Amino acid sequence: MMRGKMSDEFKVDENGLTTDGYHVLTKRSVGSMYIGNAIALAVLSVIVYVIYAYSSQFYEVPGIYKALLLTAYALIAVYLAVGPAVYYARYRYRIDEDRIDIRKGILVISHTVVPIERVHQLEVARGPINNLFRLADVTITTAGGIASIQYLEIPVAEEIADSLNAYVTEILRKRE
Amino acid sequence: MIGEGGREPTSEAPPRFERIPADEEFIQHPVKVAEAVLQAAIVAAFMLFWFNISMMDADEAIAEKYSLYISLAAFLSIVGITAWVAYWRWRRTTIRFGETEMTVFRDTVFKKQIRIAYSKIASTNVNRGIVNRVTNTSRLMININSSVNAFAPELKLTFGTEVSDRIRANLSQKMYGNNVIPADESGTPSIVTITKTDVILHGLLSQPTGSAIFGILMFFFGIYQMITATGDFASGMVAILLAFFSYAVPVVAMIFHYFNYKIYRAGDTIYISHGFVRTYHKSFKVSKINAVRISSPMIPRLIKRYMLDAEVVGLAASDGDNSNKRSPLLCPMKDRGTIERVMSAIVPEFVYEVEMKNQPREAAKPIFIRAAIWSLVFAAAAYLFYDTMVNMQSAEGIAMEYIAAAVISVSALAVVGLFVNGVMSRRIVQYGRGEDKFTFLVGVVDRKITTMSYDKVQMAEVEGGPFSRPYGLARCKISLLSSIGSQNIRSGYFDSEELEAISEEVVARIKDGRYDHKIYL
Repeated sequence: MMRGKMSDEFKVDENGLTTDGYHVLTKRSVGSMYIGNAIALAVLSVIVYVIYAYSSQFYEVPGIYKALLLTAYALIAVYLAVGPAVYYARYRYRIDEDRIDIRKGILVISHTVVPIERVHQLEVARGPINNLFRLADVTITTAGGIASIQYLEIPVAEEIADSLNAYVTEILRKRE
Repeated sequence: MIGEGGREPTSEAPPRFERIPADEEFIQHPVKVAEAVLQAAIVAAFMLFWFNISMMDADEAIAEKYSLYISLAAFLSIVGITAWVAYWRWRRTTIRFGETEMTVFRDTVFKKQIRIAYSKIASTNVNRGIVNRVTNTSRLMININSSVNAFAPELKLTFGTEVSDRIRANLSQKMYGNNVIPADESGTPSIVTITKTDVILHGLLSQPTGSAIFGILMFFFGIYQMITATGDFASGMVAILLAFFSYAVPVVAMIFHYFNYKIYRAGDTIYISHGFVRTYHKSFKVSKINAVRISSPMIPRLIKRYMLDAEVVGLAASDGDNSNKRSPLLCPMKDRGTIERVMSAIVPEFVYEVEMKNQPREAAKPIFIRAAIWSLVFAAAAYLFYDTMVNMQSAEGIAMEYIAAAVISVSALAVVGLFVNGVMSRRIVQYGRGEDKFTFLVGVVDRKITTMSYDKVQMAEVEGGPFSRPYGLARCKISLLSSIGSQNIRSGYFDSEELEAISEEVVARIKDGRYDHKIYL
């Protein structure tokens, strides 16, 4: 399953589903990721500039240190630039009657399965960047940890949270 | 020795404590007020002591003249206010035990009502410190089945020992449905005999290998620095202090903690008691165990010693405020045979026949690629360290040949260690699946065999990195409720589809009804 070559499995049919029944993210999510990454890169650039420009005033920094710093900076910059496209292409999620299934990742691809029976709490959250793109994240809390479905269109996020919430409430009601 | 002693604790044991009617109201023992006052007095005395010291340095004569009076007044005020608040809270806090839930009501300015259903309680534990022993009281700690409050018990109630035992017996009856009561604890034989030597060995050997090696190295380095002419006495003292706090203190704490260790099972409930100065009495239902772990750091493994512990939500909190990272110990360091017999006697639910699989041959590739990457990182860090020392040499006159030899030796050792770890890991790390349980064996140095029930898995994540994916391999992260809230348990590299089977089984068991939540209430 995870021999993961990018292929037809990411093609989306008219219902917005991949061949194996997964949802993919909306194209708008890439914009949100890029803006987030651009802000991160700007902050990182300032930090690197400050280190690069001012450290030599207090200490004679060997050339190799500067080279390492710039190499690390360049690698992170490339990662932030390429990451969103790969993340978008690989992100898939599926909500069945019994489980929430999320596949995502850039270098390390993870496949998370949360049995719906284990869900304790649901939260729909929107940061300022996601708000700009009318996107939201659904955070799923279990007793043992947290999983999230990110960059969903707001109505989709709310529908997912509502339906999961109703399902969990129903499970609890049946148990009483 | 297993199952020694004659009397088997059974549910037929007659209850020795009077039933608590729903309308009976309890207030805590007045020592609760004394405890609060004592704590406040110690903190206040400490702070005011430093205040006085700082005043002595002040130039103003007035500060010198009045600082003692100011401190005394502040001390008395703090102690007085604390006593008044603590008394008020104690007097106006009542506890009732209803048919299905217990209620704590505090009628002060900040009103509070805590209602806890017996079905939600994970464990009730008794903790007796020096103050409790002197005043013949017990601190009853009630933990609910929640990861959010795993670090602190939901309720800490102080009662006279008899009242506390009566309450615990009633709670035990309501929660577990058995009649085993605290009064039976002294008479019930332990399922395994733990001698004083066992406890001392456990204290000495159960520390993680890293901190043991660090402590020993620091100790010898400190001695060397202090007794040789070229050494520096002050840095020797620092090294010995480091050894003391990183190894000696945890060892002594562990020995005191697990002194007089005793464990037995009555029906579905496990009872554990231990402690030298402060005594601990824990009880929890077997159904509340999320995982059972046999572990052995490297040094005890050389003499074939292992220990057994369990992940039970909320149990970390039972140890009080000073040691909330411990999962309940089911057996201190013993030989493997004894550990397995204790496991069969105490938690047979976690014993099963399983064929453990080693990591596949292809796993060597991601393992060695990781080792190579880490070796490069380590070598680069060592080079940078050496380079920095060269730059400092002109100023400090450090003997570079020694530095170079040390850096090269440490780097070479680290690289060799990483690759040896890789080779060993291929042979050691295992994974096995049974009908309702599965097991991960990890750890080349500090080994851990964790057996988990599918029904306790909260979330499963299978991760494949760029070096493992081409070979169809992945690692699995299982999220469980644990003694410290939640915990992730990771596997080694295995076929991704085999690891995916764990989450498939978890979901399948829920779907077809093999998972029954009532069993775990």
